[in-house]
Amino acid sequence: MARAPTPEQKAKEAAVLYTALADGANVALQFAFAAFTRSLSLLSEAIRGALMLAIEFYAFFVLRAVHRDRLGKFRFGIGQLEQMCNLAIGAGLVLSGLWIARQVVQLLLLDMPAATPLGLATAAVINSINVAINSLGWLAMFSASRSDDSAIYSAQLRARTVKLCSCFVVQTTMTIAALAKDPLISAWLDGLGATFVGALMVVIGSRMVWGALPDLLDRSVPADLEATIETILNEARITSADIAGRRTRRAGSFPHIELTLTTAGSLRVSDFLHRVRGLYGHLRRHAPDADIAIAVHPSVPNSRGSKRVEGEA
Amino acid sequence: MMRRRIWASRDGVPIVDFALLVLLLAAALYANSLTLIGVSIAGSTIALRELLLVSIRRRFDAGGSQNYQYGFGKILQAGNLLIAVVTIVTGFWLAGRTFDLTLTGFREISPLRLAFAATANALVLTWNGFLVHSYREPLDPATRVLQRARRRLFVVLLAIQVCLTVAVLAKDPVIAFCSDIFAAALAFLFIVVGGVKLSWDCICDLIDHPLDRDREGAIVALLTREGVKPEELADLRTRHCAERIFAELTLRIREAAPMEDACRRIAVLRRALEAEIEGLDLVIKLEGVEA
Repeated sequence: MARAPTPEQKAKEAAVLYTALADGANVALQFAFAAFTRSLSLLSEAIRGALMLAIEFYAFFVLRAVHRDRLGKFRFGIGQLEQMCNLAIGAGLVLSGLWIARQVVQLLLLDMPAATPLGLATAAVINSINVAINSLGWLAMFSASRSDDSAIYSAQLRARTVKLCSCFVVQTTMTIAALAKDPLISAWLDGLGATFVGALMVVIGSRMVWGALPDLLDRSVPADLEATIETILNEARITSADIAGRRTRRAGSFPHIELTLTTAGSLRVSDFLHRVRGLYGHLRRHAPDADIAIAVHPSVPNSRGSKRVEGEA
Repeated sequence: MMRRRIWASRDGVPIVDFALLVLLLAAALYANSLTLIGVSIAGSTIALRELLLVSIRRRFDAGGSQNYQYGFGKILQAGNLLIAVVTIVTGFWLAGRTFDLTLTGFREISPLRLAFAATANALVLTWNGFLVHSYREPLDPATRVLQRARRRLFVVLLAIQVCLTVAVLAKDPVIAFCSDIFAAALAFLFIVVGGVKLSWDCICDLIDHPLDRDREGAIVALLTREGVKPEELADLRTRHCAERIFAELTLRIREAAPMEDACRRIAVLRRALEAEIEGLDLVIKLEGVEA
């Protein structure tokens, strides 16, 4: 069932939306001028900006959906949905980076027509607006950041830092290219800026894909979390004989931990549930965002009265 | 004996698939036929999926599953997603080429080359027909999905075979050209529609999408049949991956009840559900009720 967001949540949504809209207008302007001026640096910056914008809008929609409880149908959490978007955006970044590399090679080796000095100067002016918007956005987000920020906010701040970095590099190369009177130097500097942005896109994109894949493939949680679970089990005095099954899987910020306990030693259901509640409390304290499931594995008495454990599915 | 085992496990299918694909691609290039290029793309999709399934299954059988405790379903679907995306891209490339040729004009295909193309297609059609017939009732769910895709490919190949045969028999270059364009469009449709459907299925599986209402309703109906009252069913979470269904059931049970009775009931319930729902991975949780 959807619910109305609180005023504080609405304010957060508005902040994210207005920043994204400002970025969107900027990206549209960059695309238009990149086509007009034929500047590769500006075009690559526009593509990178558009993909980063996709992350911003994605974060915005996830935030909205979370505030309104609209993702309730994903009963195992939205961790995998988050990772799927990261994978798509990461793959998009890598492919765009490679496409820019191809364009740079064409420009430098195959004598593709380079940008004119006037075009480069206009591109530099447009990019300076981008630098100003990014600097203000980064400053606002950086001053609002806390050590316990959510994964979505941290990812946005990281994206904004990358954006600012690449903007500064492109601004430098583009300004020098516009000031240089020699078309060859202009072309090389334009190519250099595009190469930097392209390389940055490939590196960031690969990291995003590499980071998302283990989670999407249901790989078990990292060794440190496994070790934590082991410690918690020891603290809760759960021996290996009490555990019929133990499975974990990654899912973005919400790992899944599934423990199946045997009923040995529990005369009544309340005895079993007492153990479950104790263990759940321990696990919740150490992994507050995890999806924890403590299941039952029935030990059924056989005809001779001794207990046997039912076969696992 | 060994040969029979390879055949039964379908390990040899991708090898024959790829051998035929090489032949088909050579025929496509020789005959300059867009249709055969389309058929090669469609065939390579299924061959790659077969290869992926065989290699992942072998890896898991050899004990490479310690880090993937929920099975290989998601790895399979991620691989299938990649195959689907590549297929869609190549499908659109084929559509672009077909559209380009339709607009820019006539391209002559000699009757001999067309006959060669029809023969190559007939070979692939026969192979797929043989597979469709031989594995009418495959053992495992993952193979069944592939078998369904192969059946669809068989139907498309049959339609393409009709087009090519008509073109060969007509001995008219214009009819041959038109038949090639029409059959290529058919192949494009098959590739893109199949690719989009496969991508959607894979994405749903990868993001832990729940079962649809009907299938979830069927599980609830089964639980009711086994004596679980609505007030006892605290929660049911489901997700699916490939043909495997993951269900997490939370039952409300009186805290004062003997554990032995609860265990017996849970065991019966588990057996009944697993017998009715193929590929079910069931987890049962308990929630206490004071009274």
